[in-house]
Amino acid sequence: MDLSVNLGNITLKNPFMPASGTFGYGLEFAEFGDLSQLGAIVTKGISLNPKKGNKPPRICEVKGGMINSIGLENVGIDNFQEKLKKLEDLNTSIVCNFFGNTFDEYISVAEKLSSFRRVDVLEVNISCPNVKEGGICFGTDERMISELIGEIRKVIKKPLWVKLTPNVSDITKIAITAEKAGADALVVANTYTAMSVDIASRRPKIKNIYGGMSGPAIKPLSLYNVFRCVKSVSIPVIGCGGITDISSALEFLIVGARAVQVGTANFINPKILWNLIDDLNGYLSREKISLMELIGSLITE
Amino acid sequence: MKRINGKIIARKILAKDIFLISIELEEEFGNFGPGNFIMLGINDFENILPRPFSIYHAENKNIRLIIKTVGSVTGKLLKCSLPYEVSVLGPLGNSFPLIKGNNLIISGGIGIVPLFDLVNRINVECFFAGFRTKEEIFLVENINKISKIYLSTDDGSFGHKGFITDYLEDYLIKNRDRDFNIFACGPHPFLKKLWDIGKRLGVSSIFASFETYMACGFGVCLGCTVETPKGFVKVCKDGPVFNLNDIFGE
Repeated sequence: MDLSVNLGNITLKNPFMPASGTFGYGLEFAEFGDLSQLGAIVTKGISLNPKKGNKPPRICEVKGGMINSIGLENVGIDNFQEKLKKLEDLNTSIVCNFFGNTFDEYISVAEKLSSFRRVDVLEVNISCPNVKEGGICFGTDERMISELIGEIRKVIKKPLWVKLTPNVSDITKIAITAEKAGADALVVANTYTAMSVDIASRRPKIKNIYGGMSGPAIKPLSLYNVFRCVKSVSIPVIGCGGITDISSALEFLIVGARAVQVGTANFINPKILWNLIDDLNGYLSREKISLMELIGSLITE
Repeated sequence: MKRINGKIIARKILAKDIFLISIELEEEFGNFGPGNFIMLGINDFENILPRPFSIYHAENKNIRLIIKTVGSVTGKLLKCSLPYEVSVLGPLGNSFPLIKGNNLIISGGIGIVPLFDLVNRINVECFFAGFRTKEEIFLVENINKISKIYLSTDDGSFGHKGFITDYLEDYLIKNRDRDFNIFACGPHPFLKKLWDIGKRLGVSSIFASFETYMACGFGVCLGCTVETPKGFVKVCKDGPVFNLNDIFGE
């Protein structure tokens, strides 16, 4: 079966890739399967300088999901360049997620990343606070998104994916803004702001009080966001949120996601991405439908 | 490190809130070191994340764990009807160094489990095992066959009365002219106390296994970070066995 998907200016061998932050820098999963078989590898979010991350506890489980506040811990772009060398021989696309604390930091990281030969796609995380503008999240402010994506677009030639935060009142406005500013594809969506309390100690279960929720419980929320974004923009949408098995992945494809990212499920079963490739093949042959026919085949009448 | 499906085929209560499960795996588990752990997954929407457990015993296609009932997953493992499908990822983390010398082991409660296998692999002068009360004692008979054991309960209902760390301290004071390696596992305050004793009496090294929440078990989620004066460490990958100097030392 042909599982390849076209995402505008790049074609992936299949629609399955990890979500940033759940797959390390790639090699951590080499023991579980051949990385070259994956649609793409999406690396942990990179910033200009190394980041220590937040104080523990950083994660907690909630029913059907988990909350994390890792604090974007990462090795910084210079160390990342070394790690990238180890992915040199992989026969799959490498998507590098990145972020900044300020406008200028975003631009510098984007410029540097795009100069690395092995980087195929840049995925920008806009769910970060702009420390120079009172800590407002870049991804919730249409003016900031427009300027940020516009400027990044000017300094890079490689495909630019924008990972949207779902913590906004109308995600389609953000999606349209990102498209107009020059995004090549949208990843819908990041985690949902959430908290959990330990009733014995009456303290938040996470040191940072709140974090981002992921896992199967958020799948219906992200599915709806993908559905709405697909109808609002003409660039490809990559679905992300709560995929743990083939049926949840199929739901995203049916509503129109051109590809999907799998996050928390990598912790539950590190072989999940490879299993999904096999299961999609099985589904398509059983249903006698091509992947292209399946994508966006939602019937609403 | 492998991820293997399996099923719990037997379960036995060992003490109050403590039980043993035997898991039949689809593949061989392979070799492991004392202190290595596994991530045990249950196929349950409410508890999606696998949980870390020390390895009590593993041979061929069988692995045995000793579990303390503390929350919803351990509660389900205690009550589920058998056979019960699970997944096992491991062996994970580092293990206790197999070194020669005057080796002492000290455990608090369920902390006895990762140390159990060590008795078979290194020369142990004495095993100090502490429990809260008589009903919670387990595994000590097996250790008694191999090593000298010193037992205490907080309430004095069995063995010596008081904290096991105090008895270890007495032992170290009586043998002040000798140098010891200490191997430990227990609750965080227990390990902190051990560190204070070791520092006061000049013990050269204390190796201890730590426990914390984690999502993946192999260094990817970055959720099991512990703060030390020297910076953050990951329990799953840098540990779970640490030289206490690296955790509490300046």
